[in-house]
Amino acid sequence: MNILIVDDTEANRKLLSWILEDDGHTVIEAVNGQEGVDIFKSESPDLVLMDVMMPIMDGFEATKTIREYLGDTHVPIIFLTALSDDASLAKCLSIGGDDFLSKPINEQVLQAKIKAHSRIRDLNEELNNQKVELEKLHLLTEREHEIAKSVFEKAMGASLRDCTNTRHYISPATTFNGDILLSAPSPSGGLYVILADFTGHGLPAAIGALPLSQTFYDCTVAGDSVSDIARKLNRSLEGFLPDFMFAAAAVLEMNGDGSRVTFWAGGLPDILITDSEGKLKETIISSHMPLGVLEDSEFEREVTIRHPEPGDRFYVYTDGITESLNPKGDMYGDDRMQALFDGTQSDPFTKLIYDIKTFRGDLDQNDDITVIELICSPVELEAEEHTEAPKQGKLPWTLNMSLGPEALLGTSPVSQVIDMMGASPGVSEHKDYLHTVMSELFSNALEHGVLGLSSQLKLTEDGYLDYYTQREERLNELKEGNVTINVSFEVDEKHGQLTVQFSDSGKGFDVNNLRKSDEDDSFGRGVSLIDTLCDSVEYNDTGTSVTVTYTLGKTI
Amino acid sequence: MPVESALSSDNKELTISIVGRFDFELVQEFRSAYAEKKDVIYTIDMRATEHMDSSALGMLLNMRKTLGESAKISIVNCRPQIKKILTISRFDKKFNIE
Repeated sequence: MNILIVDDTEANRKLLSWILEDDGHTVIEAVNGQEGVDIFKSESPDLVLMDVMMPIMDGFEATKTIREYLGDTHVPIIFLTALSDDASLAKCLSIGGDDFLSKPINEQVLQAKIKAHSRIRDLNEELNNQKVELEKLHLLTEREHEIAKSVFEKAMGASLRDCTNTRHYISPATTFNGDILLSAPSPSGGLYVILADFTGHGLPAAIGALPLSQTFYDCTVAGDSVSDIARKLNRSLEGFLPDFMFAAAAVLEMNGDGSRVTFWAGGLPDILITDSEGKLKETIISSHMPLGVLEDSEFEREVTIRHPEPGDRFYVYTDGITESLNPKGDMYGDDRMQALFDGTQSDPFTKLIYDIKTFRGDLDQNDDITVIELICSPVELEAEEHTEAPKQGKLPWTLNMSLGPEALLGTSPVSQVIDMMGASPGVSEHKDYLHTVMSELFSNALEHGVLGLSSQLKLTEDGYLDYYTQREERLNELKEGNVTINVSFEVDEKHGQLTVQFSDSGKGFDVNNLRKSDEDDSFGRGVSLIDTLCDSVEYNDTGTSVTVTYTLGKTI
Repeated sequence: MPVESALSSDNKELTISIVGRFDFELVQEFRSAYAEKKDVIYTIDMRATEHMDSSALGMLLNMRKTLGESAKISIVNCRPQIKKILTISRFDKKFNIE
């Protein structure tokens, strides 16, 4: 150890130096308090032996100055004193000294005290290092939490916008929310909602939000059914989360006009359904296990379906509400909650949130709280911005093909023809309707023309099956015959026009007879579809060839 | 499976989903999807149906004939082009189209 001796008596300094150097310490000497302070600052010794009575600055003053200089760092200061009255000794300690040695110095006591104080100094140093380390870690954790928080907010961001059909309330117990609430439009104009409550709360609970939200959005874009979404979420969570973590959840889909709600619920509190006045109509228990518990093969995908009246409301919420505690330790509970839905509250949703806060009083929230109100009315979402495709130069073209027995036998050539046509600018956005037109034209040419099947077969349900059985048999036996397809595309300044001609090698059919089917008949539908979708339809006299025109650029 | 049927948890509602192309190739499958279940609400979910042709229209009409006029049959989640085909064919008279 590096030891500073502050004493104005040279004999004392020499004696101490001799003992200490003999024990393997290095020694620095100062002759008064002031010099002691200066040397302390320049040499940073590990321990100080301090005389009390000295010229220029005494030991008390020097100790005080050193302590102020050191701040939180600990360096032991031991007073060397000839004073023996209690008051002086007490002053040594109160001023910032750690111990004292009475003069004349006893060698053994000196050694023992130095050893003891060096131990305390080591402990102090370790403590200080740990404190610094801890502060560093704390800063790092805070930064990581910030990063994680921003990732979560982005992952879920767009979801929290309420539309006219939903209202929600989210109140996490900590920075991170173990409850997840997402909504998304469905391709057919409806609305999807998911509410999930992961086991626990805080960061570990929130981690599950990422796979859950990604899977949910993938599903909603694809327009999956509720049971498929639930199953995919389960699969994703089951694979992603450790065994002890899972999510109580409800997945809902409301159709575009708000007349049908399909849902899957596992592990959540009862879903409440009220009428437009807020009066409880039904409570539905979550019949399934939470997501992430069962393996894919055991997963139960049954959904519940309700056909609400206009204005009915669905309330889905996490157990953070019903398990809210008041200062007495009572739980809020189902009864208190359901009592709000007796039809007397003008706005039970807002009242519920107010009620929970009042119930809890000064008590900290013990779990994440989330509730969503789904109002059964036609879904209104903000219209997405539509960017119009740039107009491109359109060139005229023709497409001719003749399909013989081998080509007719495989899968329908219509999709392939449509893909070819769709490659032309301006045609692709009409692909769906063209697909219908071309399919109908092709079926008629093949079935009634080449194969000579009669629609009359389709009169009964069994006949209907028979018709398609015969279609397959005759197709398999087909030795000769063909369907030719000619498509031409012409453009003028305003729009393009497609002319499509189908001819077949059959005997022809009575076009007038086909058109006479009435609306109950399960055949003859194709002809009226073609009539409506095309601008003009012309059959030749024998019914072996049909030409239709279809204008592009018109709105359908 | 292009045709999937599932009963709701209360066994009151049968949902038949059709994936991809709804045409004559599904004649058998479609019929067996509804044939065995009686006295339920039928829902045909077309969310994943990309195309349908007149043979599918015939299949739907056959379903109506088999189950009778009083059976509740809804066709739901149609894409615009499918809905158009159903509308042209005046299927809204015979089915509840959402």
